[in-house]
Amino acid sequence: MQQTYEKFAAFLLEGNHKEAYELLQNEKEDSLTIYMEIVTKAMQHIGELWQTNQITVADEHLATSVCDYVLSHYTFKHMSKEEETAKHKIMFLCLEEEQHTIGTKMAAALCQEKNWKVKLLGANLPLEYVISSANKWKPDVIGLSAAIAYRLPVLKQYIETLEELEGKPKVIISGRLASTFDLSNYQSDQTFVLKDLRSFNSWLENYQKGVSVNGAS
Amino acid sequence: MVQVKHLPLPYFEINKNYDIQSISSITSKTFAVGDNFLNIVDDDSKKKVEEYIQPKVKDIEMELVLNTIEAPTSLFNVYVTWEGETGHIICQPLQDQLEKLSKQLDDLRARLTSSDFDLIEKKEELEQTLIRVNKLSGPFLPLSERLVFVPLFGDLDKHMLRLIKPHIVDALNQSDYSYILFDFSAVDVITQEGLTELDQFFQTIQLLGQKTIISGIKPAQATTIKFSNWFRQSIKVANLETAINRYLVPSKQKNKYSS
Repeated sequence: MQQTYEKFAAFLLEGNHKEAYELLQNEKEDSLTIYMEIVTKAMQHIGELWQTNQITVADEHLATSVCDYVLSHYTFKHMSKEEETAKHKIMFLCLEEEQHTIGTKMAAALCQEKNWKVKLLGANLPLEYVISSANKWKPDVIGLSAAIAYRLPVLKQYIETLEELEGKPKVIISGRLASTFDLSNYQSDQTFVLKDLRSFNSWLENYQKGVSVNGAS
Repeated sequence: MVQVKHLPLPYFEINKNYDIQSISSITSKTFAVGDNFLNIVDDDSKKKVEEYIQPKVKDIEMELVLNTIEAPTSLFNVYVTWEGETGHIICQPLQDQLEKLSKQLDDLRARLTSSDFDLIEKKEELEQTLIRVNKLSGPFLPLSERLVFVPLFGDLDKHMLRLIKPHIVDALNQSDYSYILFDFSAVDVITQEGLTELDQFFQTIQLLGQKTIISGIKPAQATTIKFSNWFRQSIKVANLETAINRYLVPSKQKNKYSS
């Protein structure tokens, strides 16, 4: 039988944003499960369809854009509406020359549900821009997404720079590289490598607990 | 096969182990060609090559990401045919087209990001408010045991009438009022569909046994509604004051006051 994520992938490839959105909307699961079991798996499935020569890169790009739109719509409905009282700030970005934004979008949505203040810088960001934007906005956490293997040296440079920013923000490394490569030597007491959205979610929860405990003491 | 040298696209002749046997001259301008075709294939495309570029897959066309001299990853449409254990590969560059598409999609994405979901939500809220306003535009006000007053507000269209009708009919159903007075003083436009809806509405009321009274019709409205059944079958009174004087006070008391 066709899995839900395959159905979702098929809608994305058809450019059918309406059906794709309704599929997510009609799911009973919480959004973390939806992001992991439907959206992430659908995008992986689309990658496999290219690997098996069933679709083109252009198809993949179209599907990604539709997915992006559907996610925006879905997450808008689910975000916490009390942004004024948000305590923590998190900023997301993809490495320069990288276009894989769906993951950061889902991570950002999880934060918004937990009433974080979120800034999504988007795809393909030069480091200088990231620095100036972080200096202005002063995030507590910076989420970095990396997907392409040959970008690893750049990733290192990003981490080193971001760790040194004023306010010493925590740095999170995630994305396809973090789930396929062992990046443990990039970790420090300031930088964390998180394999997937579930571990990101737990990290957020611990961070919130940790901060409130520290704040009370 | 000397001619292959002059092919206008990158060309490789390989054996089944992907060892390169010969190339076109444009090939070495595009790729840093080594001994083996796999050397120029991006890691993420290697599996695809091993699966689909082999003698038993006679002809195939597919996309591959290859490392070129100019870029670490570049998209190509690759055509492969086999002659026994000799493979012929032609690579057609797609990266430029892809970048154009990417750019368009990025622009689109930027627009979508700014397409304000707040606006969508406000629109939904507005629709709800409109329904509520419509519902409240025909309040049911009992003035005495025998007279109910329904002042109508705004434009009378089918949406508005369909919203106020149920609660008025329900209220009438459970009561013994003799007259229901509709005041049109605050009504602006009555649409054609609104007229049809009014016809059905008044018919229902009359079936329930109540007499309908109409007040406050403006001359301009009168010309469009004068042939309507609901209008002809109702008692017409020029204004609200007259209507209330005439129907609110029971006839006996009226006699008493006037004497």
